[in-house]
Amino acid sequence: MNKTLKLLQANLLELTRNRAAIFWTIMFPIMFILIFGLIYTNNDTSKLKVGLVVNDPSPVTQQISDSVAKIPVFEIKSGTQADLEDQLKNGKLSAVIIFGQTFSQDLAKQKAEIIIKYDPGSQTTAQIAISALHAATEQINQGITQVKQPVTVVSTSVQAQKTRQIDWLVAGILGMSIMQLGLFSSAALVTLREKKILRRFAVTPVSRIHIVIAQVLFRLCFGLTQSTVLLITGRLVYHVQIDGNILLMYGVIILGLMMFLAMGYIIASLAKNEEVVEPLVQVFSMPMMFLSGVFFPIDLMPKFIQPVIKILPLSYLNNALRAVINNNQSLYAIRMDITVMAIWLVVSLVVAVRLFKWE
Amino acid sequence: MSVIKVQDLHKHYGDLQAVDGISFDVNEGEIFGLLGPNGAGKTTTIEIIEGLRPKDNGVVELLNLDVAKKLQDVKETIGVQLQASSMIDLLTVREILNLFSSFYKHRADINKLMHDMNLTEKAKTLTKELSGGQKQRLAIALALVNDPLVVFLDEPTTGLDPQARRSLWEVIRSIQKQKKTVLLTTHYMEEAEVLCDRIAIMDHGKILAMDTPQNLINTYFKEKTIEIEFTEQIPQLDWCKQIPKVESCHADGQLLTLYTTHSQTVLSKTLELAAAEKWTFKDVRIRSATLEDVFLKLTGSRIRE
Repeated sequence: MNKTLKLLQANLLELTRNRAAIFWTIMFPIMFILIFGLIYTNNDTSKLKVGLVVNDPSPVTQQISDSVAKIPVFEIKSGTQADLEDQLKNGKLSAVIIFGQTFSQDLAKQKAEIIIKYDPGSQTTAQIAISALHAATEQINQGITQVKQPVTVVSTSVQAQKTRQIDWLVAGILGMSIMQLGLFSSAALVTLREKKILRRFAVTPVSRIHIVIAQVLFRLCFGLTQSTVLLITGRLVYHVQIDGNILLMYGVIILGLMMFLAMGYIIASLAKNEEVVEPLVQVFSMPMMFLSGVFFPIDLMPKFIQPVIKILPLSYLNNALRAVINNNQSLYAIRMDITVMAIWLVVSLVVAVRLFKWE
Repeated sequence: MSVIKVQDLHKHYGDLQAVDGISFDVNEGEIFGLLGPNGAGKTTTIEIIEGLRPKDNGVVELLNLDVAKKLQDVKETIGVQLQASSMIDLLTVREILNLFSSFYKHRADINKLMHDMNLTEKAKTLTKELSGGQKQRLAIALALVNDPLVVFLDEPTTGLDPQARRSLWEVIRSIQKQKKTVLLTTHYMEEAEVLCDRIAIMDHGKILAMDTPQNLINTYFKEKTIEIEFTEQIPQLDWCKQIPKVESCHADGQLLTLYTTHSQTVLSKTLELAAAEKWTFKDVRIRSATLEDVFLKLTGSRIRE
């Protein structure tokens, strides 16, 4: 045990001095999140989808609605209040503007309200909409009466309950990062082998099992740190929430890490030297990156490719992560994903043990 | 007392018989050298004794333990420097020594070890920033972290400059002074001659001769060596063998080497012949034979780097 801990300690010490590794495994996924987040945020500002609910049609509401609709960055969607609020919660709309049923009566009493509900992730949209409404109501206020502000704008922030695109994406990038970290562990192993450090260990009383356990523990520490940093970034920058049980989520992350670590050991066995490791990792990871629903939903993939997607391990990891992070699912609900990942883990382990070359 | 016992050891890789039935004993407290060119089977032999490679057949015992059967016990008592093995780049000298030390039950004092290996100043230096000589001293320090009884050094000075090589020789002698037994491989004649108590000359998986350096020379060379260096290339012909009283000779580029027990006669006759061919010489030396001469005689070739 002491030997394993000392090896683990040495690995961690090494990592803190390896800036390149830290950059690629921690900064890279964060940059992915930031860039993809920007693309979605950019969508937000180029055409902001705003729902408009008019429960009391009248010339005044028409006038205000028109002035809001005139704002070029807005794409107005109309519908029932329940429907549009639902879309707001789903992240399909940035804000919903509501004229209540008693708007005209209230206006006569000079205390009419326009309600705007917005998603806190779309602050900008809300600000634009609010100032547009202020501008529109100001005309009316001035036109109708001398009394101050018969129409007020009431804004409330509504936390989107269901998955927005960015929530969905962050969970996918988390899955991808876990895969990359696991598969790229092969590079470190091949280096240990090619530099004959494993041979040097072999003439000491330290056993292979100590070395393997230390490596696995090290990668788990590294992977859990990476995942946590990623989730915190998503939370701070895009308000990405973890809806489900955090322990269950970390359980899924650990299972995913173990599964891809075992595959990393297979890659390390196949790679003859350090130069071929990276291309080999890409051979394994590229198809999964694009087919296993990291960036695009699996349903969007053509039918003929679905059987392939159905065997890729990352599909199941992403599915399980999204179920827990985005949809608050229970362990029971993701039992299929867990089972398939466990099978992948066991099969990979058996193959890795058979193939692995210590020299 | 014999610390290492090897009897009729065989090892093949495919068609290649890397080790072809060798036997030797290494006694307690001696520096024993396996000398031979690359591919002679030295590394295979030393790695079988270390337990890194399985043997085909034969007896390999270390401190009366069968290496193949009692490997874990053997590992506790030996220290190994592998040929061309690297360090973990991003650890400091002290960290890597501590790491390796933690693998053993019996541990040497790291501070004293660094002091002995002249590495104290480099304690906080990352291993990748060490010079070749420092790396090699660290490799030897790593072989001593468990205060071993037997130390294996596989080509410890290969690739070092002459100064670093000499300083490493001092280090190896200091290991012997601590009552440890050393088995080393080398392809440097001088190294084997000045460092080893006994030498086994290996080629093509066999031991050609085994004794102390001086005995090897005395046994194989009663004759003196005459070396004549010419200013130009001389033909590699057997003409020199025609000179009376010459035991053997080699013409190698500008260098002519003659072995004889009658140096005066041979020298004057050779210079006479050279004058007739109008060859001018730069240097003439008469010396006692060295290990290199023995090697040349036994294997028929010089070791080239």
